[in-house]
Amino acid sequence: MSLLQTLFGEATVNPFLQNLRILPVFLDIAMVICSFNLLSFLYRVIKGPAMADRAIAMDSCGVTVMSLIVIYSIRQGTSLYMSCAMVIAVLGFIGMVGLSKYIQGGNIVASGNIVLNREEAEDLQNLQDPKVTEELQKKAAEARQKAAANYIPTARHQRKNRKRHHKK
Amino acid sequence: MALFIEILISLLVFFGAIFLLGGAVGILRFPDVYCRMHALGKGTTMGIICFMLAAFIYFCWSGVGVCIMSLLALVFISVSAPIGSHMIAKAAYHYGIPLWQNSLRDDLKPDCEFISEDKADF
Amino acid sequence: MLVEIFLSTVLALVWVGLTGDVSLPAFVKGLILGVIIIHIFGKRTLKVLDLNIRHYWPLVQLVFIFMYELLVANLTVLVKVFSPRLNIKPGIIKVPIEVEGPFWITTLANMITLTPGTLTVEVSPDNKFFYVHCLNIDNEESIVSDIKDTFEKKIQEVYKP
Repeated sequence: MSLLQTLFGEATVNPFLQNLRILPVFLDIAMVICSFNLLSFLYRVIKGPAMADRAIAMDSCGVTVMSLIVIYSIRQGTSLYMSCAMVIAVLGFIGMVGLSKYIQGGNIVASGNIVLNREEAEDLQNLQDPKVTEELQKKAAEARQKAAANYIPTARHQRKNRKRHHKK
Repeated sequence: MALFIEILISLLVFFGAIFLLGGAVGILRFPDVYCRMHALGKGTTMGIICFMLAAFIYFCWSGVGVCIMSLLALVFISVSAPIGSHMIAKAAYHYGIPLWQNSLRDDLKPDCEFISEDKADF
Repeated sequence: MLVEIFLSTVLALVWVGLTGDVSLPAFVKGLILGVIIIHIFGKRTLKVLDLNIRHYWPLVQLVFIFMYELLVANLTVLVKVFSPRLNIKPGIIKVPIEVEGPFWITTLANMITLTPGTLTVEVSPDNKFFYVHCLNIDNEESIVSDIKDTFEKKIQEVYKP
């Protein structure tokens, strides 16, 4: 009977693990350390000054949950939980790539400049604010040209354009 | 023999937790994103490798069966974690997150504009 | 031919691992599926990994060097993290590289990321330089020579005919 087992009372007890002396203690220690890790990552997610801090902290939360799953599957003596760990690993990686693309440019599929977002460039050009300098406007115009070259109209945009033509 | 395997699994689990703890303390203590990435990228990779090896040895030993999936997860994590941290670091630099104020030098800054323009049509 | 056998065996092992059914019929099933998948999708991968048989030994050596460096990296980071006073001097340095081909450049970048105190931030557009973030840039020459002597040489041994 290990400490956590007496505290929380697990549903099923692994008979193989009950005969061992050293391993349950170390599993408990590892579980406690992993919970502390989760807390510290959570602190960084809440406090983190930049978005990248939050992104890496969330990714590490995924990895820590994976290790908790591995410990739990050792305690229960079944390898069925390992597929959960695998799925969390794959989804964590995909989420990290998506987040990094989002931080980089706002465009998730097409990589590129900081100001390559089409709406952003239009907004910049439409602004009549004196704060927007000439340089920025030039940059926005370039970005808009580039975006227009890469622009593939979706069905929704086509519908919008058609409506505009009808009004004219 | 049984005692030896048990001690081996216990040490693997313990050191995996310690490596993860190193990552966690690093993310609390280090001053900027790039330094935190050092601690996290290495610590989480090594921690997961230790845990997965422990699980593999335990399942082979206790008669559950050969769980190759844990080895697959090990390989996948150790391939994908550096790619992820590399991508986040690059994105953070191009987004304009500054280095720590006491950083000694920054060789990327004079070339940064050049790079982001050149790779725009990637 | 060698590459196809190697890759289909790897795919069969992945199939066995993912289904969790360790038996000969499952392995044969995975082998058949692997051969089909390689014939449909595998042209680019085959071109990258089309190596002579004597190049597989440096590949194995590379894996072991990598594991050793990963262990050393973790221990150094642990020491740095738990030391009471934070003695880090971070900075970004420019490292010239000689490896060619996108696959091998990615491999080198990953290895640099997992070695002690270094993290690849960016690759120059002509693929000639890495921008590496270091925790301690006091010993810049030793970092550059470390990258050059251990990893780059081994990777070049792997892919050069």
